[in-house]
Amino acid sequence: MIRVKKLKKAYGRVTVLQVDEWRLRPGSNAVLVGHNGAGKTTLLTLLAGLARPTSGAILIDDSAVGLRPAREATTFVPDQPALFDDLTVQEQMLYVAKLNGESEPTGFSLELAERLDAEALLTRFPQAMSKGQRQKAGLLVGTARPFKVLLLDEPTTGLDATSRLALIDTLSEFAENGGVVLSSTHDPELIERATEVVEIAAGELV
Amino acid sequence: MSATTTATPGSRLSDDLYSLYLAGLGWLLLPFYGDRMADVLPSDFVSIEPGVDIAVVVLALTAIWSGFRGGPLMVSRAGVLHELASGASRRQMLYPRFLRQMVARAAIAAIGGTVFLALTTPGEFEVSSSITISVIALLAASLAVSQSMIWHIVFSADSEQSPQGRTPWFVAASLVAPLVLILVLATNGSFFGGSGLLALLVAALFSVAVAIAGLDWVPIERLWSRARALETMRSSMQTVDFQQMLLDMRKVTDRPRVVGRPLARSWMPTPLWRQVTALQHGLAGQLTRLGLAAAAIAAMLIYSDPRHGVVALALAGCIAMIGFDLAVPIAATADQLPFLVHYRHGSARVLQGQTFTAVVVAMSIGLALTASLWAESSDLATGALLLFLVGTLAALMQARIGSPDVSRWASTFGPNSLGPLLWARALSGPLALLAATVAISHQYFRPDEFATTWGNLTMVVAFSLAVVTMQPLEKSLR
Repeated sequence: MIRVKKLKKAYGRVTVLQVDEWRLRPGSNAVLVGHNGAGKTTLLTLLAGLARPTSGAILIDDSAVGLRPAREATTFVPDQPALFDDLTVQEQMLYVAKLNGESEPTGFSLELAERLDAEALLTRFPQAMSKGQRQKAGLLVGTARPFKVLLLDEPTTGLDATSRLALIDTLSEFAENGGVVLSSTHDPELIERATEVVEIAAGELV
Repeated sequence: MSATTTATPGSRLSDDLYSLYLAGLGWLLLPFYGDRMADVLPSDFVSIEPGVDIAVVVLALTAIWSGFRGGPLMVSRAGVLHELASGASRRQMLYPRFLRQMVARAAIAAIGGTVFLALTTPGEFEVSSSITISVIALLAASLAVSQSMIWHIVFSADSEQSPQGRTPWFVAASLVAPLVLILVLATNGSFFGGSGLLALLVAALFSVAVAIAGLDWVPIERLWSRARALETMRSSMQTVDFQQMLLDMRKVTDRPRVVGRPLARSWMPTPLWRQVTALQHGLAGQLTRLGLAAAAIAAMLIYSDPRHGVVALALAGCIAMIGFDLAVPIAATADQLPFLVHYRHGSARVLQGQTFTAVVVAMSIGLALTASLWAESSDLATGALLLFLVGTLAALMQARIGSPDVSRWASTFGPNSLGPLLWARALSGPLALLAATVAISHQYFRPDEFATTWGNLTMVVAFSLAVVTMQPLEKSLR
């Protein structure tokens, strides 16, 4: 589902990420671990098509990242939730779903709202939310459209204990049903439940 | 979940209509103030047409540079992530934003054109005569925004992800409009005539069509980094974190990173070394910009009279550009967030050295340019030289907005006092420049009038402003 070949990301002369060959198959619930600045977020933004590799290739669902099939297959939830300030969470979910040809948000996001006990957030605007609530809203909006690959940057940060466990359960189930989950995290419980642990050190996969 | 109505962020008609209303209001009111301003900046241009023709071509060419620096679009993080990085059509998502940008800038240009006319023809201004120049400005701005979009796609498109953006036909189409404009001028045409205006209209419409056709291939990587910088800038604006705002603004406009240190040598005196180490661009780029500004100044001094208000203002603008360029190293130093470390005790000498170096370079250029004028017109030469000095000082004041006396101020008077201080300092540069411009255009520096009250007063105000704005920095660092 995710294939990376000879990937390199450099800023000027400084190489921040270098991956020779790496792949994630359907059913993977993988976590990216490593020190701060190791290159976890860089890898995720490259996979999400939000940064361009200096060289190398990334294929998602057999399509180059950035092309429409790969965009349709992938969704990314960054560590700082990306939300429209002027829409309620419910409106955002519906908007994102409609943009992608759906009449309603995905069952995944609606179920996640229930499991995260976030139904009360649906009618609220992001600006009136706490950090944890924004994180939940980001997860709901990010998963409101159909996807096969779910990329998450520190998804459990700011969540309460119950919500954390609920999210970890949901991610595991999604992977068991054939999806791909890749999360960067320092959360021991998320790491423990992962099917693959990918360690990054100084921009290279260990 | 119940059904809700959703508003597409790019299609809020009421916002657009309100903007249009404001633009219309501006178009009606600003000429009035422009006409009054003309009394302060006297001017008696015989013909403004050649200047406008050249400005149109320069604007179109500037758009190419703007495209290289990231294009005209700014999209929020949510917009990039949920709209552009999803399966939705990018053209469909970007189309309203692109049109809004174009309409907004075209409206501003139309108003600007009217104000320009009011400035250049004081006392003779009529609304009917402003329509032609407003239409030219409107078309030129539409063309420029489109060109910026087109060239951004040409420069940034990834050949694998958006192969169409790199195809020869797209590159060829992007060249059509600039070539048409150059052709009009090369054949002694003018955009004021019927055929010139028609050519401008065709070039603008063609550019808009090509830009819209290319919207599907707009790469989103730069939009993402720009959106992140914008979000940070919004929060720094809310907290009046002026220095962070400057940093973010750099990121938003894709200001290139430091590319090298072509001139810095270890044997150099420290102030000079610090000056050349922080050059933001390659030596060639730096020299090109300085050369272009100097050439523009030379052309204005030779072919026009700085006593005309508009010429004096343009002259002051070019000089400020030189000043800014020379002050870049200081700005770059101030940009460093842990500035207290970099501006440690005893570094006043270094900063004074930087200031001195910038002033000396500016004065040298000014001297070289004005020496030839001296024999014929000493008042002009004196005026031009003074403009160089004040322009450089004004730019230096601007560049030192984030300097460490700010921290001293904050510790003495509390952080809430910082906002007004920083804004006052930011305004003082342009004010000094304007004061000098007015002084020169009113011939206060003619030898026979040098002793008049107003001349002396203007000079005293300009230099006091410079001294007061710069003094606290060195004082706090000793």
